[in-house]
Amino acid sequence: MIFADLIFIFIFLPLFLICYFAATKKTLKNLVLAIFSLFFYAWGEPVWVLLLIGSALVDYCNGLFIGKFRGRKIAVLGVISSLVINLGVLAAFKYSGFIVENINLLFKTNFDVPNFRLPIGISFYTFQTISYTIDVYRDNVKPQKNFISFLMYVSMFFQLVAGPIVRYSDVAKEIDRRSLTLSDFNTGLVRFIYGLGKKVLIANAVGELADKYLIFDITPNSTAAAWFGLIMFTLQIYYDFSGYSDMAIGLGLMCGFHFPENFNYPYVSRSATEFWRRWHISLGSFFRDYLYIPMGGNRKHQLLNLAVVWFLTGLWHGASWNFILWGCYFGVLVILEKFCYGKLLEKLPKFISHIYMFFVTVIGWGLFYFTDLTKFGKCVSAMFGFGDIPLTDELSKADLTANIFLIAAAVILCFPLFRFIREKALAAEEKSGAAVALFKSVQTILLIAILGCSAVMLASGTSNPFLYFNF
Amino acid sequence: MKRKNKRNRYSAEEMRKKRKLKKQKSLADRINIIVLLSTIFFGTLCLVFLKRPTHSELENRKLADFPKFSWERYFSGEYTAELSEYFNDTVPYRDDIHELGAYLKKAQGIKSDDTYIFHGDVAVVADDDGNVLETEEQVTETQKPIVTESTEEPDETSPASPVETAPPETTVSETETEPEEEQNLSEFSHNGIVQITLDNKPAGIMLFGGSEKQGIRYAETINAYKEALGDDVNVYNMIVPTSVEFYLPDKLRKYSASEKDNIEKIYSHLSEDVIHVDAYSKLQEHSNEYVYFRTDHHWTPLGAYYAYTAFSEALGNTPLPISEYEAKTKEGFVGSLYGYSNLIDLKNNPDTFTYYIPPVNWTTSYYDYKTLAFKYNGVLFHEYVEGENCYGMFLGADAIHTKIVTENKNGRKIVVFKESYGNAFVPFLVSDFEEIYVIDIRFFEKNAVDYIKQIGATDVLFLNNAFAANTSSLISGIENLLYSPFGTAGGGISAETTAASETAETSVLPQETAAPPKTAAAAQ
Repeated sequence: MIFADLIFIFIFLPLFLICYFAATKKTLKNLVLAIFSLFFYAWGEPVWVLLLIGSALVDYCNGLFIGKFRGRKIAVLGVISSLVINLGVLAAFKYSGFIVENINLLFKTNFDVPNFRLPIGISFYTFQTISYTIDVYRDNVKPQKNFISFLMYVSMFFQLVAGPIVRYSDVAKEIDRRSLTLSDFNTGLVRFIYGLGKKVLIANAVGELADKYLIFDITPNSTAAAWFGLIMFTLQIYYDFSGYSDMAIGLGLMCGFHFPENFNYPYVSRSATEFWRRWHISLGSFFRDYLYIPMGGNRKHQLLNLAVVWFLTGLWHGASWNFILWGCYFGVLVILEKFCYGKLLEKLPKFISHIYMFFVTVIGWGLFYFTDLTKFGKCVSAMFGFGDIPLTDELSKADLTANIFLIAAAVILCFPLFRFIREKALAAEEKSGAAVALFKSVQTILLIAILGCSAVMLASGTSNPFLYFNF
Repeated sequence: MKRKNKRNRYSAEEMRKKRKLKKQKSLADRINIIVLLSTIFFGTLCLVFLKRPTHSELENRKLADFPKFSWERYFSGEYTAELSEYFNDTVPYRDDIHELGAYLKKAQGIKSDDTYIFHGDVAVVADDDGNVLETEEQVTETQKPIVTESTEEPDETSPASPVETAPPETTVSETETEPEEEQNLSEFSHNGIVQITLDNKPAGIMLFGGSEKQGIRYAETINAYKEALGDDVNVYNMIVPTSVEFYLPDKLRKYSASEKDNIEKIYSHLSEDVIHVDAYSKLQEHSNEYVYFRTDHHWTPLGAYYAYTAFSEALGNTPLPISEYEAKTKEGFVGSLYGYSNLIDLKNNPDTFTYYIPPVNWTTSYYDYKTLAFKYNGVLFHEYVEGENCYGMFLGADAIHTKIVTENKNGRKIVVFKESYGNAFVPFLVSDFEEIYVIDIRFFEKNAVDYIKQIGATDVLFLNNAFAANTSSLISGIENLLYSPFGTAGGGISAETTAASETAETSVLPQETAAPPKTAAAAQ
């Protein structure tokens, strides 16, 4: 099941909220959350839900093991077992086909290529449980004694399928003891609906346009069409992913969990380094804390560390060379910014660094979109006017005018304008009761409109893709 | 001391104000929560308790069924996927909600008279003159089907089953027509839809993907029929161009392959023994008349009439002038292109549906495609149809096999193999033939050659629109009928059909004669 679905919004969610708030005791609440989460996961993965439970069980035991032998050398076995099992599962399901394919290609062998369908969310929950065992080993958190509580953490449907990667240490206290305030519930509900709107009203609509231009067979129709397609995908992936994160964070808040932020207006970045501090923050910080720093960070062989981190960042996004290249592309840019022109970029007028980032981001998403690299090449060469391709075409002109308000809104909302308005509104609300009444009622009306429009769009069956099967 | 007091007083007032504001905010939060949650719960109640539709008028198709549970299907993930599909597909008031969605989509941008709206996966398939690009084969074949809903084979038997008990002039045929429309659009190798402005009104046009390879395969299939049938049976072939050929603005030429070139290519591969019927020239000649619908992917009965004149001339007959027919009109026809594309301008500018009743007498009977068993006698024009269903007026439906017997005792018997374009065409044949057998390629299952020989047909007409003649699955359908092994059961077929036509003459004649004399009188 996914959030942006009528069954989720109108059946699953109300049922869950009723049961969750009917349960008065914390342990009962945790049980309700665990059961609903497993049901949620089993809706899409009726078989691999067992893998999820198994994975939770293994790391539950590893946590207890590490806790028991804390301070002794043997405790490291718990971490090793967690790493081997989680990464092994990930490798088997996600990368085995890719690895065998490449071995066959390289050594001209003829092994059967395993063809597992990737269980949803496996990349997210394996990382979550790894963070748990490592944090227990580092004594950042206490091992969880109650299996139901631990299972609830691993399977929590909020962030299960599309992140953010919530570390155990982020919510350790709240698993056993959390207070739910009215204001948190309200903020969460508001956040959920904004996220829903981002996904359904913007991401789905621009995504339909992106596919229309990027699924080409020979070449893009024109230079403008290639740009149009990739820019639409740039918008789609941001709204899709950050919309999901908003919904996850919002649902968490409604139940008393405070998850870390995952996006912070990535498209205002002025360098690739900054972009990765604002894009999928929970992934970047995971690699930083559990890989880059343990490897030595910037103290020893920094270049090697960076190379490994970016290679793996790319690989994590999917078992295909284009994702690896995409990761390496950002790795190279980050290294260049660190050692070559980063300072220069900061000193130059702002608009130059923004133009630089515009090209970096859009072309980067091209690398991400096309699993077929020859198509990527064709798209980029069309974008820069190579080949016998017209500058514009009627189709892209027509689609631009027919969606001009949508696209304008999508572009504007990439910038912190909305946050600016909200901050001003909050400041005004501190001062006058009239402002409270005005802003709150405007917001409520806006939210009803978003909810209603999203429901209509979902019911009228326009495309509703799920981008995270690869992750 | 004094100052301190003052500060305290001040802050006490501030505190009071703050407390008041806090209260106000918490009240606003409470209202927000209550309003939003009630909205969601209201949605829940609607989705759970309101009646779920089973059929969409708008898209002219049967909606998803509630899935049957089995552990096997559950573990494969099919069950939950289908449950989701059922839930989304059969939302209460779905057609109205789709209309709302169409308005929301329109609000995403600007549409003026000199702009176009594209729907679906449109690709460049030709150069600026409409010549198909070399790699065109790739383009059309990798095209994703745009209809996301199930395109499964419609169940031919179940919608037809109520027919036996219900009299023909009920709404039966409305349910019968539904699978066909959807099939047409999703099956054809098309290239998306564009909305243009035609005579100051919005018009939807299906862009032609074209595929020479398939076209040639089509021609060879028809040749094989001619070979199998020999010299005793005249085989005619008519390929009907669609509206894209005459109304597509020049600017958009490269998004659609040329049907003219494609049709010529097909004709060049047809054997000389197959008689070519040139519908193209007739439709081109009259393209400034109302020969295609703006909201539907079909031609109008008037367009079909002009094509018929070409056919009648090919037979060596003189076609009746259109003024000899009784013209009748229905307003408010919104066809498949809206249901398919959700382009709201089409819905708001419906077509006028004009049909023509021939000035002769005939009887119509319907048979089951699978068994060829007689089902009932009925009418050729199902005149009660309204709105979205207007094109379903002819022959009742595709999913049922039709036989027409006229008062022309000239001994000519024709079998028409057609897709839905043929429906508007067939009624005109009543002035040229004694018996007319109509077979929809997509539903017939017997061996076609055996069938033609058994009924003693003198003429066979293949009537397909340009999209159909380029659509692999349809061509395969025609091929399969030729080689179908079911033909060995031939004796049974003829027995059944003759038995059926006898019944037609005896039992139900009075019912049928009620309609034609009236119309004939009116025409004379």
